[in-house]
Amino acid sequence: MASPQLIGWVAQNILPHEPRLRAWLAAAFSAVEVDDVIQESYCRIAALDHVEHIQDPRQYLFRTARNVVLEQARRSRVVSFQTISGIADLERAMPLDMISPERMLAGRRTLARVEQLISALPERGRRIFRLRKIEGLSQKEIAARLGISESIVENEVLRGLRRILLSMTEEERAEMPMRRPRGGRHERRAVVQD
Amino acid sequence: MSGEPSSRIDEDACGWVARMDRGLTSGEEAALATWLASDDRKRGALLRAQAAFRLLDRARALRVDAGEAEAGPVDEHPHSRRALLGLGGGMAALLALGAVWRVRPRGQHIATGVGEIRRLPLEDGSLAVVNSDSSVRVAFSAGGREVELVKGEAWFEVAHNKARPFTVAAGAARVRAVGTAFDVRRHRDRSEIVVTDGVVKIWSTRDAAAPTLVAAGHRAVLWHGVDGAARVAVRAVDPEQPLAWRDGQIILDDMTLAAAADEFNRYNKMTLVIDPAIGGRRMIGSFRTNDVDGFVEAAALLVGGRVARAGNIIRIVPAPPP
Repeated sequence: MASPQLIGWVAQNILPHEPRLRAWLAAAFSAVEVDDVIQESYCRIAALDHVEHIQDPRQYLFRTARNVVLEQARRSRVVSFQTISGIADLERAMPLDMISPERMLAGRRTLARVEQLISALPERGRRIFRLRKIEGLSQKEIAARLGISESIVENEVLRGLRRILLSMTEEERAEMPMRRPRGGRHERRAVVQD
Repeated sequence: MSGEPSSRIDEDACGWVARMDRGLTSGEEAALATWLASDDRKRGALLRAQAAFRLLDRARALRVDAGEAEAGPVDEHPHSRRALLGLGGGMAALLALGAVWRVRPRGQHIATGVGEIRRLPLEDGSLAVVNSDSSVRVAFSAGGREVELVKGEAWFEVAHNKARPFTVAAGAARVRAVGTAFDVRRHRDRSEIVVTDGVVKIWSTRDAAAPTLVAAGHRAVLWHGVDGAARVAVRAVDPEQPLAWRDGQIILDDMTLAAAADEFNRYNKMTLVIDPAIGGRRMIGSFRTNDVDGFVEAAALLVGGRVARAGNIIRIVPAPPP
């Protein structure tokens, strides 16, 4: 089981990069199951004893995911063009990021974002998450306050977390300034013809 | 990947986080351990759900007042990558790899080191991009524009000027253009010409045969047979692949691992050596020319090899059976 320290580190340093990682995986390795790769990558992070040596968590996450993809490709013995052509795009995908995910989920904006994620829940879930995460009440206290059973509260926590996790990590799927592996973009400069 | 669908695993992970949030019974502790042990992905999914749930604790700040939360932890590197963003990828690669040179007319000699790519505006408005470990001599006169490719490879974009033909010499091979763009690579025994725009004429000074016309989208190879006669082979080609180097890229399109290593060796001081047992494995991919480590890591993983480094030599050898 992951330590509270590791969970906090992942919340702050890994989770914010997941939307971008998903977009990159989908664009670069069209043959892979993105959700599987994401879970495997977190599994490897869960096995870390300490994280002090990781200076660039974003790069660490991308590299970990890339290795998961490569090992899957190797295991399956099917090395398709789609699977492999994205390998090198790892490095290039990163500096080309216009919209830094850090800016979305880190620092001051995190608060607004978290508030927004909770507000987007259906009525009962929203009330429960506000009481739990803003007021700091326990599930038991929430059940008493709202006059509902503890299992309903627990179930709302499950459903709300599932929803929040989805919108937290998938919202940016569509917008990804990826370079294609090939492409002659700039070299067609003006050439005077005969 | 086999077993449960990942969406089911994520759902279950959220359920475990909800239960952990109210406290697990000892029976549930055991059930959680069993659940985790059945699939590696579950450990990852649980950590991910726990991290998301933890992130929501930030909302606690809303309880006091939003102003105090504003002063909370600030991202340490919000803009660190921005400086790189203004440049287009290809130009950025070129600028990163080599300085822009202003050429003095006549007799200019330009040599690039290993890994260096230079962009070279010529005085007539033409442009040369000189690849790694190459050497070019420019000799312009009123009547003509002569460029000698002493060794290596260069791409030329030629400004139109009918009165002064633009000719590249690579050994006995000659490539002439009026207004066009093309690449010349000089090998010991042959020259390769890839035309990216317009039409060029190619011929050999050691053969009186008429020049061959080569149009955009074609690659021509010129060599001399044992009889001394010049041979030219032309075939259609996707010019992006052989010219990816201008963007600081190597594109491996069904290339053997050994040939791919040779390509990297053109750009890097490290020498990649591939064990013959795996050198014939074919690779597809694209890499930055200076990303030897990325290539080595990926190639070793793909072929199930092991990387051995000694000084400037990096070897990929077959891994011992597990």
